[in-house]
Amino acid sequence: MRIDMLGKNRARERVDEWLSAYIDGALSPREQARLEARLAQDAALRARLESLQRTVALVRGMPSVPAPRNFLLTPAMVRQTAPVARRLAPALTFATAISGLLCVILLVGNLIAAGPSRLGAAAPAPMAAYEETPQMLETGPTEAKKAPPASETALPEEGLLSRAATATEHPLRRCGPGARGRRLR
Amino acid sequence: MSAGRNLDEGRLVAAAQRGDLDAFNELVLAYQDRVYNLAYRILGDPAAAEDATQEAFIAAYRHLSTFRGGSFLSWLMRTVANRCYDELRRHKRRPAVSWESFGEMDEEANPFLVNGHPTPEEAAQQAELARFLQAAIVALPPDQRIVLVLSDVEGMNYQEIADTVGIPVGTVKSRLARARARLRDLLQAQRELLPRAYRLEDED
Repeated sequence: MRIDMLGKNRARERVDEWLSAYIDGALSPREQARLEARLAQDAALRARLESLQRTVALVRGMPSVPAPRNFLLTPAMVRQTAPVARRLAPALTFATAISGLLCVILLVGNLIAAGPSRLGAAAPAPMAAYEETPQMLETGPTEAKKAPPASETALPEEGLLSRAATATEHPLRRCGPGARGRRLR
Repeated sequence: MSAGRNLDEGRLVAAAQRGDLDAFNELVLAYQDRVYNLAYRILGDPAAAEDATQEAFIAAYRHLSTFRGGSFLSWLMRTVANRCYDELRRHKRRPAVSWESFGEMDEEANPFLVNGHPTPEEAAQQAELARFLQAAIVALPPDQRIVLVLSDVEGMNYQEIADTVGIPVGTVKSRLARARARLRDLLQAQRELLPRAYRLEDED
């Protein structure tokens, strides 16, 4: 029943679409001929077309509403006011450049602190990195159980510390791997 | 879409593009009635239509460099239509003036009734009809309303409407058909409110 209603509504919409396009002269010659043949036989369809034509004629015949005032522009109205983001752009660009530079310095500092052996070595296996973290963080007993024996991880840490001690004092040394461990505590 | 009065549109546009605000204001004076009428028909509210008109002229002046020739009025009408369309979409959840409230509508909300023209019986009837039609247009869903106004008030063809609203021509056709059919149904349902000379008979 509902499907019937929907189908009927859809069919009515299609007819209205045809009639509307017919009023605008927007049907193809073939479509127009078919519609006119149906109109000649179907009084209800003719009445539907006439009511639609009258509706369109009423809208088209509406008088124009005059502007209630003048809309002249003044120089102040057309002055471009830059949006906040655009006004802040130079400052934001500068801040981006500075933070980029700091990142580079930090990275270089890290690499220097790691020393040539670390630089030359292959990237540590993810598991090795995972094993290093619990010790640095000195986490609770559960993690400590998972951590390898101190003797296994002490070597790289010792190497780092000894190299750090001999390295030239660098303001960013505190950002090295050892410092990171301390800061996280 | 032709100019409302005789003016050297090309020269004025070229001067405005060079920053001559006076030249642009000549175009404003020539076209403000058309622009306001379109905004009012779409938005159905005089204050909102004023805002949209003013904003459209400001936007048009600022983006004059993007005007690549052709009809300046068409370009201007697209600018205001787009602005109104954005406005309708922004306030999609806000109920439009209800068709049912037509009988209680504040007369001051209708520019036809306050424009100072003499009011013999025929003019009064036409004003009432226009008021009635405007209430019916505003009762249409925004997507259908803008297509109907661009077609039957502004006289744009399907392709121009498609370009203005940014939808396919097929969608313009179906939305326009639905808008007209819905408007017809509204007018038939409320025909006792229409002046006798304009009543639509039910075809069923």
